[in-house]
Amino acid sequence: MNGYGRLFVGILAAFVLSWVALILVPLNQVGNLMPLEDQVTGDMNPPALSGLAQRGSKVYAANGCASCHTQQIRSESGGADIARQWGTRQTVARDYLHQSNPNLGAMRLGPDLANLGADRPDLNTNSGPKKKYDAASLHQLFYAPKSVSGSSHPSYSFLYEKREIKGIPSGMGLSLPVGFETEEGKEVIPSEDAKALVAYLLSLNRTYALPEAPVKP
Amino acid sequence: MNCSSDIQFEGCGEGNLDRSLQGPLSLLFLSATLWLVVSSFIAAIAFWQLKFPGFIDYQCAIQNPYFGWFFDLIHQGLNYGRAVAASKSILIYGWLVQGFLGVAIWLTGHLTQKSPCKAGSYFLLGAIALWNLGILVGVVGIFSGEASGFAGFDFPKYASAILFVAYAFIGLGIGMRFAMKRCTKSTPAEWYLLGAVFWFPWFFAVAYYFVFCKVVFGVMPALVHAWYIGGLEVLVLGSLAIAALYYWIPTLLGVALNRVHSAKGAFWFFAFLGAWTGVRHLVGGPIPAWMITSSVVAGVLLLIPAIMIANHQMVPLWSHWCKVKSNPVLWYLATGGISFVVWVSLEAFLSLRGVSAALRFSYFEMGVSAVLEYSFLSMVLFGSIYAILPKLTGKELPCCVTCCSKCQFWWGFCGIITYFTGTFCAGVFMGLGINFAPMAFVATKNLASPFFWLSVVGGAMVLFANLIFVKNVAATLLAACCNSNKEGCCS
Repeated sequence: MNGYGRLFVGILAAFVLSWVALILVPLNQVGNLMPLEDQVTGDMNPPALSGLAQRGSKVYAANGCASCHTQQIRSESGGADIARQWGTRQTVARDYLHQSNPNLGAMRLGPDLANLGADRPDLNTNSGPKKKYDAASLHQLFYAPKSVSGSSHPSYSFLYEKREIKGIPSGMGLSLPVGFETEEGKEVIPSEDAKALVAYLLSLNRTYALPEAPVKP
Repeated sequence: MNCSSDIQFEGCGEGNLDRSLQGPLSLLFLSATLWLVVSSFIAAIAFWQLKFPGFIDYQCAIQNPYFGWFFDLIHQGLNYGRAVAASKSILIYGWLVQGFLGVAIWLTGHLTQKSPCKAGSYFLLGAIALWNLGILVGVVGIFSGEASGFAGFDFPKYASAILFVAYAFIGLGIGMRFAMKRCTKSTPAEWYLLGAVFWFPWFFAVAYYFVFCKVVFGVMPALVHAWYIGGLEVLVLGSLAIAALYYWIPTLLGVALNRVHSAKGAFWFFAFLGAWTGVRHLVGGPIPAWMITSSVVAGVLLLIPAIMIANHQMVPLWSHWCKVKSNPVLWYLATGGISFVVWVSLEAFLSLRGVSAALRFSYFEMGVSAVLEYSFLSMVLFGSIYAILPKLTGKELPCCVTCCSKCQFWWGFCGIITYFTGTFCAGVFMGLGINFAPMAFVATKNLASPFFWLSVVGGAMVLFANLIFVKNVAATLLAACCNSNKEGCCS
């Protein structure tokens, strides 16, 4: 074998070693995880994702939501994520079992969304009474972010359709606050993508306990 | 190791070699520089939206009865998330990977002394055109809402497939040229070059399989993505930049490298550690802790080969300071070489547990990736392209270009320092704010705001430097094309 042959074998070895250790071994470790049954309620944790939410996860990825929002709660020693009430415990590999794209994210220009669908204080001010976000408030944030005080969220109004009301209103139109209403005789309807995105965001709830990540009382 | 010393090649059939590469490489470098500018502009639009989220808003545009659809299109395509994905992907695949592939093709020709035949040139031209087509398709895909959502691997499935096929032709050509080389002793530049040429498709194929084929759900795709980005940053782009430095510094200075007998050790150290560094991007994330720990350790240990490599390359530059001062190409290469060590140190620092608790997910990460992408990789690429262009065209660089390249260097150099200072301070304030739980989340951004503006100024300076670069490359290629003499260009 000449010098180039040996060089090639070394180059291959450097790759294969890291591939085996960092891809194959974890594939066996986290690739075979299963949902667990809750001993008290009998629910499966993490709960399965609806088809609409699964589609919403793609909308989330395609619009680069992960360039501002993370979906991972670090342990108490690893940051103030739990102190900020973004979650009740550290997120672990099992939490993402049903996600085709885990959308972990790498920047926090916006708050963490790992538990957006759970009871929690206001995301932006980190205070106030605990409540669940509902679909209407998320639609309002995406269509007319300026109507939400203190928000610097970009607008995703292209996910909505403004159309004439023919006959009686469809009932799906957004109810927007004063100053942001649509013209008389028109309504704003969320597209399938917008509905899917909201369904996905509301499905984000990792407050159940897992043996590897117990919730502190 | 001396059997194919780089310096001895000067003059032996070089003109022929450069002539056969002139067509393909002109196309490659021109398109790479154009992508660089496109990426800078899109990044500028994205950055501006961080402060003024509604500035391309559909709400006001819809009032316009004639161009409403156009504004709607702009709003969809250039919305912050999509614009960031597009600018990052264009920067990596359009500028960095493509530019370094050009350098690799040129270096391969000169290190093996084999010029492609006429059919080979056309083949190469086709592969480069295909690569650019892949990027164009990918960018349109991202703008139309089909991004994969994995930063740095954002192109949709079909565009990534086109890139892979285009790369296969180029990589195969480079590999075959080395396989046919008669002299079997190799130089440091060749090790890094060959390593990168093989590593890129392997890493890319594994990432493609896990991200697009949906074989496993859950954190696995994210893990593979982090691993791929580490491989791309260190083993592919980093290797190619180091190869370029190993070639250009002795060639341009006319002296030997310092303590080069330790180069082989440094290379293997670098190769085996480099492949482990990617997972540190997930510090604190939902993956097994042993992986993060091993990756952080690998990242810290990477400092050893980095310092060894810098010792080989930077010491001759230091001891021949007069030559460096007079040659702007060496300014770029020296900045790039030093930035390599700076980047490895910054990444190692950021991956430490205490530091990452505060600074991870803040503007600081933007600053660190700018050090990698601009001040290390792009600087080496600028220098290499300025060194290759005169050989490719067979003429000295027009005097206006040489002058402008100095100007570009200072704009870029000051720009990146300003940008980094801005993002560093903004990141520290933002990170500390987020980790101080009693403070409202919205208030943390106000803390970072003044420094954010500093990074905007730095970014604008870098953008201006990139514009000078595009003008320089275009002017050089145009001058060669029209066969005009030097005086003609200057006036």
